[in-house]
Amino acid sequence: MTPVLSLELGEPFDIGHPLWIGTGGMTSLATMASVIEAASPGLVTVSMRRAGDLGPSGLLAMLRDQGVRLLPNTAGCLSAREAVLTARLAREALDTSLVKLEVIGDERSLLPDVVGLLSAAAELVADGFTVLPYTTADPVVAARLADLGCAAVMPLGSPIGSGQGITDPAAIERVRAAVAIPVVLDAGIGTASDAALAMELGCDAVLAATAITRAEQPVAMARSLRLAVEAGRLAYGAGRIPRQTTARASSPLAGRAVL
Amino acid sequence: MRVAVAGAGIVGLTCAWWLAEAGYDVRVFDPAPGEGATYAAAGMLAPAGEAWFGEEDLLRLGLASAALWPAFGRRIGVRVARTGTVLAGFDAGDVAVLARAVSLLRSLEVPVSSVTEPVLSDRVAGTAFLPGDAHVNPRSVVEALLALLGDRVVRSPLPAAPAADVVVRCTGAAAHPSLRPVRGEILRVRCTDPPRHMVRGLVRGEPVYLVPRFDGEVVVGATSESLSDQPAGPTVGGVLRLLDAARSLVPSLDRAEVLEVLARDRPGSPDNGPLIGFTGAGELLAAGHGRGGVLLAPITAAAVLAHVAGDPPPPVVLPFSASRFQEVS
Repeated sequence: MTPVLSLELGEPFDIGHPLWIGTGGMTSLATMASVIEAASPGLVTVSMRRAGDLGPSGLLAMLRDQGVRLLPNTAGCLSAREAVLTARLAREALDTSLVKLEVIGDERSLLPDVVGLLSAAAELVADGFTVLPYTTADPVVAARLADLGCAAVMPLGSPIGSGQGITDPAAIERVRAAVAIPVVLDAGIGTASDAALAMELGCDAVLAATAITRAEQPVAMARSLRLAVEAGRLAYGAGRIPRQTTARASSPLAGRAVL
Repeated sequence: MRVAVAGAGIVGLTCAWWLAEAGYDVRVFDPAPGEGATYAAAGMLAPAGEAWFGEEDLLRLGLASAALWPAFGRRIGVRVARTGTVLAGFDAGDVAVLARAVSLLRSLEVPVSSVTEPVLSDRVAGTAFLPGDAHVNPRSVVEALLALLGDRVVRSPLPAAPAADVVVRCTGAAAHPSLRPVRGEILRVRCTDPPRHMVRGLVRGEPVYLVPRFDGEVVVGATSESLSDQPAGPTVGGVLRLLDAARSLVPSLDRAEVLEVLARDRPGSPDNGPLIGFTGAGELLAAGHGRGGVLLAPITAAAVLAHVAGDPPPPVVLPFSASRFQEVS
């Protein structure tokens, strides 16, 4: 059944700084706090798995103290139904209608279940949520998510936590071309150059979690990713030169001495 | 001098015994001694396997405490089994993660070698061995300490105005505002072919450990989650992940008998290290040991005794002062 679209708009969606950070895989609250202080991310996404860590000395209290914008996510949800329920509980608990929607189709690969994703996205958009779906790097699925009224799409660069970077840059470019809404690269970031590449491909932001939380020096890695997304964005706007198959001399050849 | 200890988990009981041995007049208060986090603890005295970048001070604290365990175990009549730990990576990615941990350990001069563990699956992609690791049965430790302390253990909460010169708070996450409950789930199973060593594995990214006790019993643990809406008992998802990972490493566990499945909250601190020291006049804190309560009990007790006696505590304890998260409270 096609859901009736709500006339009420979700909260205005602002990307903020194009580095977004996930808390998944963090080794301690103290380290996470230092990472966020060092990187000042545009958004911080937190796994809710129902209610999340709401205690007075827990993760959410700490993030609130730091004044960061929170993006609750439905990580670990294996069905549309579970994801929708988790999103609703998160909205209640965190007082935000933003949600990073994850519907996992396979626990080994952690790839999205796009069928469940489309149905959950439709339901949540109709319910007034600002929906940011984690999806495969498929331009058709991305366009369908945009049609449903999602606020952004979040294609994966490579599987969650794999650190492989962007294994198919052309696919990310196709997603970029397929939608007018923001594209946020999610999953697969391993190091700074991956984040720079995402921005050079036209992404509006990059989400990194494990790349930071499991680095040997998480604060240093967070700083490097912040610089990388800024560099990648500048490069994207600067208009790179076309790739050529042969050399093009940068100094004029005319005027050389005739021997 | 009279000392009141609040909390009769492994940390509170060990502190009480240490103080009693030093001649202090000690009372321990707890409505349910040994039934908190200690009840679900596997008892690994294995600091090296938990080592992580940025937590070198915690590793040093753990190694110092592990060194106190053999003598402590002998004094209270509890066997410390020095089996070592096999680190096992199931697939190539798991091995790459373990290789990082091993290189960190080598840089900190922790011995790493190799060993044969016959029950491990042929499919395990790589292993390393930490020969220094040991384990105890925390329930036996609690039983022994309760017997030794006798009627100095009072089965009720700490009175509002305890008749004591010093109060030592060892009530876990409740002891300090910077601490939070971190849920852990474990299973006890019994099999005819248990591993000879402790096994700490990574199975497609999922961490799991196996601790062989005597008579074929094996403790399988442990999940770690901070959520505000946990049910009181263990969850299907937690048990599934533990058993899936454990059976991948040790296929013969398929026929093991499940004896017990349980969940307890560990006291988690912001930087994973305990809080040990004075928080006010006559007020000592020894809490927030996270996954390391059993391991860290002796060094914590030694530090508490030093504080009570007015002596300098062991230097390895200094990074874990009770006041380092003051701004949080």
